[in-house]
Amino acid sequence: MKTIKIVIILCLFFATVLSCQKGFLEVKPDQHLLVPKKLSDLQAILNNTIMNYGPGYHIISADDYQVYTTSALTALGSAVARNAYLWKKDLYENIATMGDWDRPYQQIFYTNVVLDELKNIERTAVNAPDYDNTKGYALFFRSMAFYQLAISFAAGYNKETAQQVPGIPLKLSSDINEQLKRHTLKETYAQILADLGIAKTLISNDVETQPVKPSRIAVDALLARIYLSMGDYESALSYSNKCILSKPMLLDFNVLSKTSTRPITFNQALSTEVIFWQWMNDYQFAASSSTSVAAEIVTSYNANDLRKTIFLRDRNNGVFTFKGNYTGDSFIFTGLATDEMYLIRAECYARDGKVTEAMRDLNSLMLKRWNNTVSYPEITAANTEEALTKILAERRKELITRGTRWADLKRLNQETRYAVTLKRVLDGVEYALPPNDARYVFPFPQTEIDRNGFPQNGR
Amino acid sequence: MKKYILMFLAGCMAFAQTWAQQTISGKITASDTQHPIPGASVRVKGTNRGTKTDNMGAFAISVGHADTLAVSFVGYNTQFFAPPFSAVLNITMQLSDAKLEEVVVSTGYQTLPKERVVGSFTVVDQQLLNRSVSTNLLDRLRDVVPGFSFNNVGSSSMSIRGQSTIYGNAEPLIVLDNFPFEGSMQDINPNDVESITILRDAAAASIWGARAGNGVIVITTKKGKLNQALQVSLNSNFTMVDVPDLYAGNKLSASDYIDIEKKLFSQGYYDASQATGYEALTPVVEMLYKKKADPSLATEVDAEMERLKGLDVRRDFSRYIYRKGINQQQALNLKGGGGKNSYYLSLGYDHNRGDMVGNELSRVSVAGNNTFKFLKDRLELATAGNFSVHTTVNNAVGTNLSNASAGGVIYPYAQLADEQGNHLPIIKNYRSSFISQASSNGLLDWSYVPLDEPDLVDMSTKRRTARLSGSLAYHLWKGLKASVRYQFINMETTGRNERSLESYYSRDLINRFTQVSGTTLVRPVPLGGILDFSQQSMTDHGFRTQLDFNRNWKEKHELTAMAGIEIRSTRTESANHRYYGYDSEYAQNTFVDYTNNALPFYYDSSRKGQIPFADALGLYNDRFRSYYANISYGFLSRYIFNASARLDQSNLFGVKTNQKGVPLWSMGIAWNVDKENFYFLKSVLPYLKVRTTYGYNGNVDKTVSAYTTAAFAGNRYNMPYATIINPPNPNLKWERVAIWNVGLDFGFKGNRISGSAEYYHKKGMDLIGDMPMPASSGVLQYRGNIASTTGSGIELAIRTQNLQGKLKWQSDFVFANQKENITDYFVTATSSQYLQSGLYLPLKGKPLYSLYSYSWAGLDPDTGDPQGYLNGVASKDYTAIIREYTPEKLIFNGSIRPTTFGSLRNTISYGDISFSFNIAYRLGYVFRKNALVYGANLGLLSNNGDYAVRWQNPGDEVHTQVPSVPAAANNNRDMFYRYSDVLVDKADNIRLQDIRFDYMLSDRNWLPFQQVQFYVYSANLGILWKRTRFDVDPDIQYGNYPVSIAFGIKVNFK
Repeated sequence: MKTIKIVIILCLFFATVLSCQKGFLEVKPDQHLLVPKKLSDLQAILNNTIMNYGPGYHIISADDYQVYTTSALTALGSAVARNAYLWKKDLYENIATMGDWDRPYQQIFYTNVVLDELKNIERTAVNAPDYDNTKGYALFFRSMAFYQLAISFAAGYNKETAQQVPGIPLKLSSDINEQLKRHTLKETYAQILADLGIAKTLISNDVETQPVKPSRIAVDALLARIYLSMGDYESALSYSNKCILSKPMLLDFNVLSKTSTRPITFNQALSTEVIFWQWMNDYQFAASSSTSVAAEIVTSYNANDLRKTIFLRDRNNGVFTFKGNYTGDSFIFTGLATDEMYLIRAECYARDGKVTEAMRDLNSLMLKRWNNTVSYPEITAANTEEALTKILAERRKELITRGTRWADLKRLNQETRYAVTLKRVLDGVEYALPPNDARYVFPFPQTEIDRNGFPQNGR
Repeated sequence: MKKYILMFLAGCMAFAQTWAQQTISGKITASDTQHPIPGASVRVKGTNRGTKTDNMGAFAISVGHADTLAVSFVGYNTQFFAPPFSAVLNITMQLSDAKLEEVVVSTGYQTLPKERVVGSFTVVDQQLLNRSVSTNLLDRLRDVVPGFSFNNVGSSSMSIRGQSTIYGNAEPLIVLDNFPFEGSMQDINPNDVESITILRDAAAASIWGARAGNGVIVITTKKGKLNQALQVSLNSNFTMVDVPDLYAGNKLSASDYIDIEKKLFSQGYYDASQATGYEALTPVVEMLYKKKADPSLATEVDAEMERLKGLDVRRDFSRYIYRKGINQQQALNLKGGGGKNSYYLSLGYDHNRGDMVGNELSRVSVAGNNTFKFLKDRLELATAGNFSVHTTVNNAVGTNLSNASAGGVIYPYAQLADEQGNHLPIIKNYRSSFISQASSNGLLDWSYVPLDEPDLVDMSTKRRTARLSGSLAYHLWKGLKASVRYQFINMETTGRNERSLESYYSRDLINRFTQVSGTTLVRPVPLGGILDFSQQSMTDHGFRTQLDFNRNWKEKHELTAMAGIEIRSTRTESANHRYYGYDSEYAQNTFVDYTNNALPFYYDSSRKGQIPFADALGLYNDRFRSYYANISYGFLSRYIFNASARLDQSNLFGVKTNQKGVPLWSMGIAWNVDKENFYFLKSVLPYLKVRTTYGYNGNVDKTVSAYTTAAFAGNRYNMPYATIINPPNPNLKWERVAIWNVGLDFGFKGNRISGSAEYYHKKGMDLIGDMPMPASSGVLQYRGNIASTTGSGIELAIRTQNLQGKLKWQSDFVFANQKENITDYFVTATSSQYLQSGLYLPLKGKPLYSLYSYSWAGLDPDTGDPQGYLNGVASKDYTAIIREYTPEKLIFNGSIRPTTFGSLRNTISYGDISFSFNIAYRLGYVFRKNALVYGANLGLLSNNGDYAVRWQNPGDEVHTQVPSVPAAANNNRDMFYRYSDVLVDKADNIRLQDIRFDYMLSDRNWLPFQQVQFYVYSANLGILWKRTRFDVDPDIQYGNYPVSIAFGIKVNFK
């Protein structure tokens, strides 16, 4: 009898051990660890400075910049920058990886951590606004990163071929061990557009006073930029239009100091044109005193065009460095701003045959760039063709170093009338990049090929 | 009356059985100890008549003429005596050949006789543990266990069979009385320990699962035994520890130091410091400025400097800072037991006077345990309680006393006291003229008198530990036992660093922030002492429930099995707080303003600072849940098969890994060859056993987490932002070590030669290491289960009985050789990191602890510049030479941990006297001699005595390899010399580790005790042989291991 009693007691012991320990192993080993669980933790992750950086090597690869000497080439700072400038087939010279690839994927990782963790948080009536905003921000940041990767590492969008052309690996979970594949260009853009569509429904602020954070018009502006690069002018028109309706402001260059080396202050840009804040990864070429704005841009400004003095700093040796950053310092602004929206809408109107509307937008912008002590010569166009030519010319003169040119080249090269062959001459050697050349697509870093087995971009 | 009746009855019986009965008496002694054996059995063969010897080993028995007497005692050969008998029969018992097998090993879950063992165990018994005298128990394992080493370098203080992890915890698991011990080893009184078992291979350790990867040290404390008379034993000893050899460090002489200071002075080296008006300048530099200002003082100053050249601060160190350490240890213990219960009680007191004035340590420990049997011995209850208070006081000032011009290195001509012994100030942080000017402004005296300091501070730590445990075991059915066991540990540590107002630290901090406006002084750091108070509280619960099964069938089959569940939880909470303006008399303190980060410093108002904030809180939780099972089957005692498995879960890894649950397991077989019928060497080699095991042990790296972890990094536009530190890693798992072990145990006739040999091969898998990741994953580098290592080794433990009889001589030889390599690692650091990393950096294909160097091409005979090779030609282009060396091209000199090590211990005894000495050897490793680095100060900061033998004139290169003073500071030149192979040498050495002398008196009639033992033990007796050409101790270049000598007495009462 006693035996049975004791057996029962022992069984109870075992049972206790097995049952009552729920949560026993879930306690934090070190209380100092911040294991992001709360909405405020996730918001803090998205507030990280890294979320506001954009790529830069495609800027040096495009025709915004020009270097005249070997020492200026060296001053570009890194082998990747030099090779990007000269459109070398081998971009990396055994350098394992580069910021324009790493940084966006780091941003994507942060957003995926947030999106994965959000699934563990219950959305309630109380937390709904914060919950939705956090999710919307994450989707916006991730789409921005995907798009910017596509600009550098995938071909220009063409809806006929997008289904066959490789895009970029779409990393959608925070599991770093996940095996990735390279999605098609169509899948890439479909993901971006779908995510942005959701983001727009979730973000509450129409306009953001601290534009390091996304807003509803930032979503519209990004969509306008993306649709334009895809050649979907109807959608680009619709989104740039929404954007301008919410935030029509343009910065009047007449209020700026023409002699200053930093003529546009941070606050001036912020209070007028900036929709979403982003600056280029900190590459040395942007700060070099020998990296010049391309001669054909320098010579294209009218004497009364204020951009000539606001944007350009004459180094008195044939070099004109760019000083018109919306960042207020030497860092290059690659974010979204209203001037770009006017240019997008103007182009889309023109392509739609609405020359009057197109010219109205172009003049709205140009009026703010024109010396107001001299009467402004209204820009006019007799037909669509002329309108388009004029708009594209101003687009190039306005959006120097804004990170739009590489996508523009890929898009416009698909139209024979606007296709250009880019040329560089250095030390008597001529380098050329014909339209639609394979070198318009940067190769993936070798580690990606080795570890993930992605197909490499032919170059 | 009774007596007569008994005599009558006995007489009748005797008459009835035989014609003549005889009473014989005698005494039984052991041949090995020469001591009487109490409790030996003396019986008439074939009957149940018999008796046992008393405490003096005496017996009396009546025997008939046809009887045969059998005398037996566990561990000794049974002897038979046939008639005729003499009236007095004194018997000396010989050790049985089986004695070796009788050793019991403990895994912390079960104890088993050695013959049932398949794995690699080493048992250190009480006798060997008590051979050395130390405050800390684990010190007694030094140089007695094959494959066990204390490390001079690396991430663990000790190792069993090398290191099988990279970033994980590399310390062996310590198990104390069946539970992993989370307390401090310093709290264990060595006199309470019965034995230590070292578990080395998979079969031995895998029962400890995820924490056994570095081997396991199982400590079993003393317990009473059933049916044992009360035994009282007292052990008392005191140890004197010598002052360390301060001259072993090869420092600059005062003369060289002053010469360098003069040269630097002429180059204007001190002008910037001098211009500040407050920065500390050494007395020589002050004099040089005095002489410069007033050349008429030249003779006086020069004479004074000559006087200083004759001084040596090390003389003052040895007189005033150091002293002989004196360690006392007293231990009293009682044990015994009746038929139903046994008990043990002990008291211990240790007091160590440190070898520096102001340092001491004390420990008071109380331990007790009880075992009770109930219900016809079917239920066993055991309880134990251990309490200790451990106090350390660290008031000593140390020897890094000055910041004057030489980065914490004191100028060698400093004087700490005058001829009369009066304490003197030395130059520390400020110039003497600045100090007197500050005093005149009303600031506190800013001078630093090192020898006053120990009395002005109270830097102590007190740790109170309570360890309580209880277990309940019930024999359910034939051989089936169920048990539960619980242990609770509470460790409360309070640290108190109190610096009184008079202490330099407080005066300095108060003065530094003092602001003078006119005649009023503002003191942001208030007048008063500064108290740093820290508290740490650790609570550990261990709970285990286990089923044991143990049965024999027909003497043929023997099955032992167990299974159980264990839960452990350790919670550590800590708090540190600083109190300013502390007044110890009234225990009062004052608040300060921590928020102002722009408080001007008194000595330079352009420099600003913040009052140091030293408060911190911490909370840590370790939780484990484990399931384990072990089964052992023996057939005819010849073949033994063993298997064990364990599944661990922990809060470190999160739910996903826990759910997956990879069990760690092992299997092993042993073959007792000597038990075979066909075994034909029985007469020569009566004991022979072969065994082999294979399996996995695990290891933990607490620095990684399965969760995403982040940290707040600051504010941006008034929004807090966080940075992700650790990516989520749901695949994180235990590190695993696969070990294959083969062992051979043997004993020749009479145990003249006995011992064991082991070979093992191990493979560290899933080790935590760094790996570059494709950026698309989101991270560039990732710490996860990616690295692997291999290792193999041989271990020998051989005992020979060289002489037996009255004069005995026994030798114990311990040998271990081990090889280790990193086989998979994915991040290669830079060459200079491999050279400079004082500790370890993994490089694929090399041991974790490796030494690398540049190739040396000798000194330039014209300039004394060091030379290396560039494209095979001697060169002085240091920049190019250094650039040429990729990690693959660096010279790999070898391991910096010994690869072969062990000891030879000889014990010689004659009667009551015994003498033993242990010689330890460490071979197959290298070291780098400390270099003279000139830097920008002609070698002043380097403070290396090699300066005296540097290259000075052409021809010197024949007898020196120390470069000349460079014309201008050249970091690459210094770097090249410092890491060139001219400074690397073999570290192999042999030491006389210790000697011990014993005199034991027992069972003398005049003695009021059962046994008295006097002993003398001396350790660290010096190097007998070393391989290196350098005049340094390769294991401790900046000093030596001071000799210690202990005197002790141990008494066992009747």
